[in-house]
Order: sequence, then structure tokens, then C-alpha cells
Amino acid sequence: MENVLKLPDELRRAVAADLLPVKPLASPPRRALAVAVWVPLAALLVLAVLGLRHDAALLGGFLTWGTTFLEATLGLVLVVLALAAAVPGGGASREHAALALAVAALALGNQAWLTRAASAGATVPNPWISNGPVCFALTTLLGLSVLTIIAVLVFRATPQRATLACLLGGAGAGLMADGVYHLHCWVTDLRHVLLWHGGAVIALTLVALAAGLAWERRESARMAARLSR
Amino acid sequence: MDDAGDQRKRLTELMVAYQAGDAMAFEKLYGELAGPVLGYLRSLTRDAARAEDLLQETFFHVHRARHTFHPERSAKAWIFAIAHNVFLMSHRAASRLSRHEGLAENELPDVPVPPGLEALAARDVLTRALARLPEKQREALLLHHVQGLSFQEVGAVQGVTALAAKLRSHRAMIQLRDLIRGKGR
Repeated sequence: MENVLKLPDELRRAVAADLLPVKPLASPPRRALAVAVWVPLAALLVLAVLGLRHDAALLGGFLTWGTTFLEATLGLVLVVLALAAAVPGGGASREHAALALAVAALALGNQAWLTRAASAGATVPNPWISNGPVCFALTTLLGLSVLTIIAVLVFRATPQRATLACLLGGAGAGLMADGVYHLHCWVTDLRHVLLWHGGAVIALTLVALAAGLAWERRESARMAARLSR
Repeated sequence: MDDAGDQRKRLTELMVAYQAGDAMAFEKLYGELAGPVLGYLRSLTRDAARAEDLLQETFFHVHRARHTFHPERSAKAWIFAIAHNVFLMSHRAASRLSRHEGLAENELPDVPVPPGLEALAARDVLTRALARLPEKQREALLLHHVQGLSFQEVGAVQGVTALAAKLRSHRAMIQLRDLIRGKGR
């Protein structure tokens, strides 16, 4: 037993070879501020390039800007949970994560329903298809830009629970992107919103999940190689 | 300050010194926590040799992830959380190596036994009863009763809420008593 508890030479050498001082990571909410900055920048870009939705006056301030703010805030909460899950013993439990994802899904559905109730929006020939691919592509593109920032923050923490962290980060990125794109898209038909906008959120979540799984597989493979020596 | 409070303060100081580049602090940290972490890994793996491999692997990960420790958090819970995840990763690694997990009940290594229960039955009876508990419940019980982690810390290690960790430990204790009394056969 005593031999086992002696610091192994291999470990001592590995530590000695890389003992530069490190700065402790800031708390998850503080690190998420870097992601929060993305929201106004992305909103400005969408408004400058695509313009504000045509039914903004009909929807009023809350259903135009307020829902964007709420969706982006919920997305940020998911990002904070993702960053907490990335850190060992970071305090983000699976129960909290499941609750946050459920609230996010409800918020997305509720926003779509409230917006539809306030404005018929643009009439499109086929709500299942018309405008859908463009909305999906642009929301996903926006989401990928913020997901890149989130991924850098998550992987900097050499995540122990990469799958959970990435799942939450992907959902957060999706929600934030959809919140911002809501400022432009004036198709309020629920079929369009749930299929194409909800689909973009799910796609971003799946992309992030795949990245988390790939990280865990790589880490497992490296561990297998070390253990087999 | 009580013993647990003293240890928490000492481990935090060691971690902060280690983050600042002090190799001795790492050695002291290893000296203080290698034993408890090994006991924990033995209870998870039920394989003494594999637990020793994973102990070294855990401290490799501690080194790689040392920047993720925050002095406001418990260093012990942080390291046990790494050990927990190293164990989970080793499941996947083991499948790559085609190694089988765990041992038969009669080959169990000497896993730690909660001190309050030692009066209830012989050590081997307790060890076998512990081995029959569901894995997550056994882990919560041992982290709290043997390693002295609070339920908040156990929850952080297992990635669940403190309440869920407390329930797991409580259920494990009830089941363990039943098994010792022969009700859980």
C-alpha cells in the first residue's frame, strides 16, 4: 500500500515538465460575459443586413425586443450551466440541466405562440417549406458563430463532462441565435417557427453534442493508450 | 475550526500554491489525497490493480485541469470529481482494450467500510454487502461516510444535486442494513 501511495516517477516528471503558474479560470457567469457581448453585436448585424421584421409595430416592444432579450438570457443561462458542467465538481447537476433545457423548450414554444397570437405575420404559400430553409440556414449560421466562442470556453476547461457541457452549450447557442433572428423573421406560422427555427436550435445542439462526444472519445482513446503501456 | 475545516483550508492553500507553480505543493497534495482517492477508486472499480492505474491517471488529469480549480470551491470535491470522471472514462477505455470491468464478489479487494457500521457485522460481510449495493448509491455512501465529503460535495462529484446525493446515501444505508440483517437476499 505504501508503495502505491508514493508519487510515481512518471507522474513527478510529467508535473515537473509543465509547472508553469496557471491563472484559475473565472467563475462561469463571468466567463459567460464574453458570450453575452455576442448578442448585441449579432442583433446589430441582423438589423443592418436583413432589417427589422415588418410587423414590429404590430407586435409592440415586448414581443419584438423583449422576447429576443428573454430568449437570449435563457440561452446565456444554459451557457453558464455548460461552463459549470465543464469544470470538475462545478456544481451543474443533471437535474439542473434537464430543468433548464425543459424551460428553454417551453420558452421557445411560448414565444412562438404569443407572437402568432399578436400578429399573423407574412402569409407564405406553404408554411412547411416557404422561407424555411433560409431561416434555418441563417439561424444555424448565427448560432455557429456563438457556438465557436462557447466551444473555446468549454474546451479551455479540459471538460470532464464534455457531452453534458456541449449539449447545454449547443442548446444555449441555438436559443441565443433564434432570439436574435426573431428580430428579422416575420413568418409567425407555428409550423414554420417550430419546424425551421426549432430545427435550427436542435441542429446546433446536435453539432455541439457531436463535438462533446468526439472529445470524450479522444480522451478515452488517450487514456486507453496510457493504461496499456 | 474542526478537522474537516482545517483540512479544507490546508488543501485549498496547497492547490493555490500548486497553481502558482510550486512542485512541493503538488507532492503534499498527492501525499494527503492519494490514499482516500485510491480507496474511492477501489470501491468504484472493485479491482485493486485497476484502481492503482486510475489513481495515477486521476493525478495526471488533476495536473492538466489545475487551472479549473477555484479557491472558493472544495479541493477535495474537485479532485474526487476528477477521479469520478476518470473512472467513467476508463469504462470506455477498457472497452477499447477489451478488458472486463469488475471482479466476482469473492474476489473483491479491500474496499473502505463506513466506520459506524463496523460494529454491525464482520468486515468481509460488510464488504460483500457493500458490493451488492447499486453503484451510485454505494459511491454516495462511501464519499459521505468514509471520505467525509458533505452532501453538497458528494453531489458535485456525482453531478447531481445535494438532495439527490443525500437520498442515494440514505437509501444505500437502509439497503446495507437490510443486507447485513439478511433481509435483502
